[in-house]
Amino acid sequence: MDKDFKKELLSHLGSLRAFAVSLCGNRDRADDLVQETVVKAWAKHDSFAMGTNMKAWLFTILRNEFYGQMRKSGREVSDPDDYFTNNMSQHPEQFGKLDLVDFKKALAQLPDDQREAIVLVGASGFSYEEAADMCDCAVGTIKSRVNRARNALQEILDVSGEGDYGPDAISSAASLL
Amino acid sequence: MNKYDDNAQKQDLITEKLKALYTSVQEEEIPDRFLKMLDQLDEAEKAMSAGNQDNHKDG
Repeated sequence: MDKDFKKELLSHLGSLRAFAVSLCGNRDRADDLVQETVVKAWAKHDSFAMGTNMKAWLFTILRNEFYGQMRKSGREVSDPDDYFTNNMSQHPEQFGKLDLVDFKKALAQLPDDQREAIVLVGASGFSYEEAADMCDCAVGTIKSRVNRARNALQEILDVSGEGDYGPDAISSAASLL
Repeated sequence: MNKYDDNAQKQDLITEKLKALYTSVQEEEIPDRFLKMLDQLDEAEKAMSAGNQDNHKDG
């Protein structure tokens, strides 16, 4: 194995895990997905040109694996009960974390294609063009998914309570840190 | 504050929270299982290519 390939692969494992958790919402399943992805990437590394975007390549393998498994099993795509980490909800006294618990619940309510789009563009740092390539759709489709995801999140969070959402909440959270 | 600013601020906050969640997972230590797996894949491949070199010297 090319040492550079392995080294770069390692450097993307953290973001692959974060992406997997945001896709399937379950930590154990996310790590299984990452494992499958690494095995597949290793098996077809000859088809990867060093110097091109390995992160996008790996993310594409992971999402294809994920949707492939979904089609086979017919399971629900996400399992919001275990979204990101349950540990977060065990410390309600920490305002900042409680705040994120509400947010991850809101994120889990999004349709899968919208959640994927906002995560790729808003958190993973991909451009609209890269995300469109990875999801095999038009750039306009990604833009519209991201917009719909943003609006839906705003709506869900507005309904769940103006108090822990507005600027006052931010300053009081900051004072707790 | 006008409605536009209000919305822009809420959208900034949404982006901030999304990144905070994502980063919390991204920055976790990589579990040992992945490091072990990579080593195993590496060794399996070395063993295989050693075998291939015996069989196909012209590569």
